[in-house]
Amino acid sequence: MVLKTQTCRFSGLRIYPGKGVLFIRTDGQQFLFLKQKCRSLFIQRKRPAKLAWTTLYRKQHRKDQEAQVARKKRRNVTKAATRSVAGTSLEVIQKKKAEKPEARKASREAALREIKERTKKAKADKAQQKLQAKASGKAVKNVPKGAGKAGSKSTGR
Amino acid sequence: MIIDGSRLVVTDNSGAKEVECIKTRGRYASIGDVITCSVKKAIRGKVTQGQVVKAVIVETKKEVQRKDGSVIKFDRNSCVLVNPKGLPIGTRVLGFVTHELRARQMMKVGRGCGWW
Repeated sequence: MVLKTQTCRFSGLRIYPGKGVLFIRTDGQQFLFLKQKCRSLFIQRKRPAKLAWTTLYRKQHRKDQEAQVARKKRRNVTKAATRSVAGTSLEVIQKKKAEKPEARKASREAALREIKERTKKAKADKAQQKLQAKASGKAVKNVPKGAGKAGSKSTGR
Repeated sequence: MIIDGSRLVVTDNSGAKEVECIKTRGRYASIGDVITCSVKKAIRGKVTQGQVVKAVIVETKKEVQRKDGSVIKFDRNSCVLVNPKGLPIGTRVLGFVTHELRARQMMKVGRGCGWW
């Protein structure tokens, strides 16, 4: 069970239920004192910062610093979480991540090679068509003007 | 601890400023008790100087022990004037009103302080 404790206005010590005196001044300020010692010193207008046994003094003079150092500092660490992105599921992404860089490079090159070959083939086809058209002397007009050039441009990829 | 002859501050707008206790029930009175007193100082209001009135004590310098073990005390002795039925003479209470009055059926006094 956790007891609800309050702090003494003068000494700063904990006050357990059933202890302490609540003093209410006419201006509305409330002072909770642990014991007669605190109350008496308060009435004498002693300043708790000047008395060595109060928590305020100890705080000011850094008496409990060891305890503070011992406490671990917590830091916020942002973790990059992998999520499924539009269309591609989480499994696919993780599989790709797990692949070795060499394997990825190889597959990438293979894909590029394929594309290059395909474009080469398309170019060759077009050239053949042109030849055929020349041979027949017809259908030259049907081929659009930039058709040959467009084929060369597409190889840029 | 209010005894005969104790002077109390009046914390309401009845017009009285200071009263002297002239009769208590028992040896002494504490927060929530009704006492008889005579008005010693008054400004324009519902009561005049020299009048004998009833008053309920709301603040005492002597600490009051509560059932939960806590202790409460104030830095002055003060009261609120009431009629013989226990209803406040003034319309507002300017000081503090503690929980002890609730137990003594002095709810109307608490109302002047803004209990509800």
